[in-house]
Amino acid sequence: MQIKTLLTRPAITTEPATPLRDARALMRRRGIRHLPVIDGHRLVGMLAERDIERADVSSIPEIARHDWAVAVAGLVVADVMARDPLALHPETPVAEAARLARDRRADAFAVVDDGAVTGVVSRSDLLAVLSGLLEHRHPTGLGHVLAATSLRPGCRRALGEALRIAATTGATVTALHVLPAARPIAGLEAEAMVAIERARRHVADEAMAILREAGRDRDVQCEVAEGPVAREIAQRAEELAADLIVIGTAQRRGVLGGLVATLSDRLARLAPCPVLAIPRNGGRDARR
Amino acid sequence: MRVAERMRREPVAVGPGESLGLAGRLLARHRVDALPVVRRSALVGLLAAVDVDRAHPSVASTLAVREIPARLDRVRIDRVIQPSVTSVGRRTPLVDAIRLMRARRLPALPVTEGERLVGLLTEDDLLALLATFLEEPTGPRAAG
Repeated sequence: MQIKTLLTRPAITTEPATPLRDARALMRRRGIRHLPVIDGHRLVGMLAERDIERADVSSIPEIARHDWAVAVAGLVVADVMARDPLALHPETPVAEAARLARDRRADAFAVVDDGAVTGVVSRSDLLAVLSGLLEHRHPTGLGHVLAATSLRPGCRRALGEALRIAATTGATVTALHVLPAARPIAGLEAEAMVAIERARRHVADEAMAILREAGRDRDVQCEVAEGPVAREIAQRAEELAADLIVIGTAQRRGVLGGLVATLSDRLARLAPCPVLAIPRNGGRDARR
Repeated sequence: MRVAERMRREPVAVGPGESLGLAGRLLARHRVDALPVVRRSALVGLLAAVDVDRAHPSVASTLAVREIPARLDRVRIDRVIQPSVTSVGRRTPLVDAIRLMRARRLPALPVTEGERLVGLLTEDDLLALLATFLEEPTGPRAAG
């Protein structure tokens, strides 16, 4: 995609000797904030609305008192325009224009082909492209999937499932591992607590390594958090505006299985979005 | 994709009683085009770089260049910002936020939870996202 596809109308330009107030009136009339300044056909400058505002009489009365209004009224475009403006060729990729706009903090570029100005590409034009891309990107409404994993055997199934969903919908994936909150143990010596803390840090590092490895070939953001597991996951989902949470579940058997609130139960109450629980056993087999 | 994924958390903000001089220095130092204005963490306005430009002495000012900073240091921010504030929530679809920024010509869009400022969506970050989308090896999904 090249910037020439963004040029929908003939270039609106001005000249160095044009009175500034006329240039400003033109901008207002056409709803634009930048005018390439041409001398003959040659680009000699760029006039931005912001440059005019800065050059104009101050909006603050006690500062405007020192402004010489008659002189301001006599300004012409050449007095205020930026010289040596950045000009781009019509075949410049839109991505490159976006990067340049950001890196150079430029608000607009003149587009010049064979010495003649053919248009202007502004930040607003570039954002319109982004709007269009986003519009078509997630027709399923799944933009961001949060995969919450534990370190139990089969823990990576949730992440694997999240990655599969992401691959078909174009969603981004965040992999999160939550270390359960540490409970202070009464009567334990400080030294022992330090050792426990060190072990926990080690587990956190290990978890991070496992997540990174599992999401290695994909663009997966890996995070390790600490605290009450369901609450941490729900909170992170809220912060990330996740559209779906994927978790792995362990099957509980016997009497307790029906009594103990599982992670998925708790999450279902706390989560700001749907929760997909992947069973530890059978998930894969069931699909076959 | 939603606003929360692309917003800056803990953006640089100013108070309504602080000066335009300070705002101008913050805008330059942090390379941004707008600063959210907050009173006790509640969003009360948005100061755009162009607001500072408007207050700036004209090119035909009798003030010496070195006098200008002191003058701007004496102007409170709440004298130049618009009383109305446009903001979105974290879960607002990004595409709607961009549409709002373009329609209202906002250089940045504050993200709030209730009245509390929780983030800022900037043009620079959106331009970076655009470049990333367009340079994905598989090409943008919108190509079709």
